Amino acid sequence: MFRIGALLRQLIRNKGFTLFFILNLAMGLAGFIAVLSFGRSLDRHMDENLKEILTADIELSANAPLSLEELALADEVLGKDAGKARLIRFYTMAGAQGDARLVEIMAIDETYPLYGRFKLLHQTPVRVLEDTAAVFMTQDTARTLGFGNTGEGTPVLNLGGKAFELKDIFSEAPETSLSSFELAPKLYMGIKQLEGTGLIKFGSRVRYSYFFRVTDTTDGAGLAQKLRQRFSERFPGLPRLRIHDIRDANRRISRVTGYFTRFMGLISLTGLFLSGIATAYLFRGYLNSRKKDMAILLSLGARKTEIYLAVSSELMVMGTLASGLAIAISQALIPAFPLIFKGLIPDGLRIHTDAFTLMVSVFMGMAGSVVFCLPLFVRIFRIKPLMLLRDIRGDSPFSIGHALLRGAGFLPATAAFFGLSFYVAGSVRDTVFFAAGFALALILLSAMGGLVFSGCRILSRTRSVVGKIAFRNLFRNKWASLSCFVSMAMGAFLISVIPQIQKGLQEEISRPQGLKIPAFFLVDIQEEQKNPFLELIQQEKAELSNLSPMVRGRIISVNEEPFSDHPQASGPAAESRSHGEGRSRRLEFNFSHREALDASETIVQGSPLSKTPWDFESETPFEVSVELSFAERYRIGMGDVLEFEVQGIPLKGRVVNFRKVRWNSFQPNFFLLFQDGVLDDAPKTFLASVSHDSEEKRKTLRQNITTAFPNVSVIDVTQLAGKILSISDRLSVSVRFMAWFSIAAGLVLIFSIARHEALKNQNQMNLLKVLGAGNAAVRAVTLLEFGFTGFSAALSGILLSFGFSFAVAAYFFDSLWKIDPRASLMILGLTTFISMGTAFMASRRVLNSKPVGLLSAMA
Amino acid sequence: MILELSDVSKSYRQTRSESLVVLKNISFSLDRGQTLAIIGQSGSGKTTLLSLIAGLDSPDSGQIMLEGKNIAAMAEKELSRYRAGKTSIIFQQFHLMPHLTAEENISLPLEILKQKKIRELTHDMLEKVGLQDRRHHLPAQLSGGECQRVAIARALVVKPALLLADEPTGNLDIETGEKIARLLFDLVEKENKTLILVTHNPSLAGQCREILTLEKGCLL
Repeated sequence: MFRIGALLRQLIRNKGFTLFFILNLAMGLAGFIAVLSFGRSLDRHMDENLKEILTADIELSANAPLSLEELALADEVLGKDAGKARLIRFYTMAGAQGDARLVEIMAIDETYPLYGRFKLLHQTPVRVLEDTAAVFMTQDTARTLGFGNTGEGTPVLNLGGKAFELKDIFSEAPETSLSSFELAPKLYMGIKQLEGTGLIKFGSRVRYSYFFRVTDTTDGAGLAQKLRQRFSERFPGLPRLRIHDIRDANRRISRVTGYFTRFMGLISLTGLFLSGIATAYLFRGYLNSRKKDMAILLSLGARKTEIYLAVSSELMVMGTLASGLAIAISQALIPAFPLIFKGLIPDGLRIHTDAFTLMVSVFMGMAGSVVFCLPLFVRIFRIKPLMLLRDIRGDSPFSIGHALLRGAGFLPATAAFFGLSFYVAGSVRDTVFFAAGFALALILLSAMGGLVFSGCRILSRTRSVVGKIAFRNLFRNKWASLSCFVSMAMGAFLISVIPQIQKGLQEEISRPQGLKIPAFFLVDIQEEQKNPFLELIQQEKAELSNLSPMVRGRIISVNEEPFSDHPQASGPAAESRSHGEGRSRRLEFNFSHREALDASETIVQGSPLSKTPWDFESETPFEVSVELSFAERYRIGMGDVLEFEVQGIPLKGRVVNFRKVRWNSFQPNFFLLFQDGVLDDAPKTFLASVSHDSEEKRKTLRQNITTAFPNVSVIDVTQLAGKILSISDRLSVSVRFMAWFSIAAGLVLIFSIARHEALKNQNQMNLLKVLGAGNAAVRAVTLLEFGFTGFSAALSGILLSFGFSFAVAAYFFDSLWKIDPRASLMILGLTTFISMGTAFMASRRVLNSKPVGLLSAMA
Repeated sequence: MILELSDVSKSYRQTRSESLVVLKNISFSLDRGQTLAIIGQSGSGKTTLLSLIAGLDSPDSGQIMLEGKNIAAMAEKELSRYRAGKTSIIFQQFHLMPHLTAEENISLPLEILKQKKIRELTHDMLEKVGLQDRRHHLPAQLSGGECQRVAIARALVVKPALLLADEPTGNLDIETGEKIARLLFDLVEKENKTLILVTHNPSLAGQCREILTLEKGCLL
């Protein structure tokens, strides 16, 4: 009875529905595949960038060489086949002629770097560094060290007791992370050549790094975590090793890529949910249209299970066709992405779909459509052959059994959604958060819809005939109106959540408006050099962005509890912030003071620091301003008393405000700012950033600064800042693109619902025409009904999305939340417009045809 | 004379090259207050003829004059006014608005016509069809006979010049059908309405003053 042939015949006979169902589901699935593929590919691309910044997948570093036991443990966890490289870095004074300057020695082995490469002026093989006493440096460093232009004789640099030849000039080095150690220009040399220099002595502050490259398919972050755990088990106590993966390569970038990954997860979940709603909605209409067929089948002796089987098979066939089409669409679309979005997506980004995503899509198409439509299957239970004898419009009366059955019908869909959320979000906690949020939204929107349509009773008392008919239709058809309202509102809600988070993310990720990329970071400006330095800057007409005192010290305790024992925050956002820190908690920090806050800083809680200088003799703690994420990470609360140690002197400060810092401003910022007067007598240096327009002017400025202040380290950050800001810009564009993509998918859903409802309304329009209502009146009734439903649904969805997006932002995105009124208005307008426009198109068909159908076809 | 049809023909396209002639040169006239039954076998063109007179469809040729106006030449806007004020139809399938109560279904054409005293007129009609106590019920809560009473009341409430009925008892059992037919003819007589009734029920047709028989689109 329900053979394949009959099944296909059934689908072909209902070709309008079949085609629309397949297209709708295919669009949703294609969006899911495309968004996930795009997000994952971009994530991979960013990882590649971060690998180049770290030069490896994993870095182990310590202040002394690793013991054989430690190296063996690393081999055990990472595998003996992992690529390895070594780097020894430390600061020393170096100079070719006259003054010696602070430089950072980067002693590397022949396998360094594992990722990335040197861009060398003369393409000298890097191996040269190991084989001969040679160094690589930048042109600027060469000039600073007094070499003049290369090629003039044989430039020789004395490092300790050994002479090194300047072999080549690099314009780009593999290691570009901006760590606290990077206070001086870098010189690259071979590890073997350290011998005989006498540079590393007992007590020297040296960092030994061991780099590892694992296979592409291995989860580097997971391995790093495993390493941390294994090391802490094997070597209990305070760890001496730091284990970094690519997420630690650059905190700023890894934070935004972390946001991006979660944002991508949110988008694909949203797309998935929208697709589910659309599928279920279409199926509901289909089931209604097939009620009579089913009643006939039942009257002919068919069993309900046979009917279930037939309907499920139809769904599965359509779902499979939809997933096939979706894969075809997505695979056709993905290669076109770089062309369509030229300039918007990163160069060299290769977007490809992984096998698992394809498998999930096929599964979703085949079984997903049945699973999502399962709650509606209960309707089949309520179909009785009796309806053939009487014009029974409603189903059989409410019964607890049916209600329970219907409730049970939601379980597989809930489980499937839960499972997919887990696949996308990767944690049970995040999944529960999403699932509970969506369920709560569904309940609240249903309640809001109930209120809206109850209110229509009052609105129907209007004198206007159109208003009376339209509003009466809405409240009398309460359940049908409500399901349309909830589906539309859910669509508007989901697509509206995205822009609120996107706006916050965008602001965090994108570079602040009017920001000039700094050219130099100037480190180690002595107190007595401050005023002459300012004069020089003025003279050179350069822009000094920031001149901040910097005092290094330790945090001893928080509210008299030792800082090393003080609890740390948990949760996904906090985890991403403290990622890689493991058990090796940092105790030393840089403290500073500001007359006024920098443009990149805003106080989010508490009051500004007092302008009155703190009295050193006072027993009252001085005022401290704490950076917000730092306070959250270390669970520092407002009013907490922190004990510091600066140059051996204990100091007590009380937290009076939390500051939000836009780290992307690329300005010298500090986690902790002290009240005026606290650091006055402490030995300090100054840190500044300077921007200058042209490369030529930068060169002159650099030369003049180094001549006037030989001790000051001038670090050229133009390239690095540009690189990091460019990554931020790419992410920013991608976030915006994906947000609009999800909005487009949501609007397609709203169109589907409006179309379905409008087609359902055709009989009513016809009847109104027969009763003498003019075309204008019928059109006005339809537009008012759909306009009101679309508008109220979108408004409710948008209002609810404000609360939900705020919670999502607080939980996942460090409270990066901002209302995007433009996007909200646009969603409101477009939803209303699509709802009305679709109804208008459907009504046009009825209005242009003769109402004679009521006598024949409808009868 | 209230209605006059002259040489009315209608055909429907079956395929690109073929069309089916449903009505061929139909001509007849009807005086005010008359009742006319159109009978014939299934597919003889009864319903098509009714739909042309109701202004739900337009003829290929010929004239349909109602109170001196040719409805075949009317524009859609004028036809809407015509349908609202001059004619009313009673359907075999009732075609009530499922979400409106009996009372609201009856008052709907009055609302469309923006008439005054809607409540009074509706209540008057409810009383005439004997459904006062069922006025707040939805169609799904009414029996077939009650639904048809509502449909009759809805048709008569606007006091149309011409009342059209398409198999008004076709969906009802014999007893209910007879009751409905009695009610319909009583009201038509009391209100002095002109009725055209399409049926293949000889007993119902016999209650009309005139009977026309259609066969293969032609009047016999």
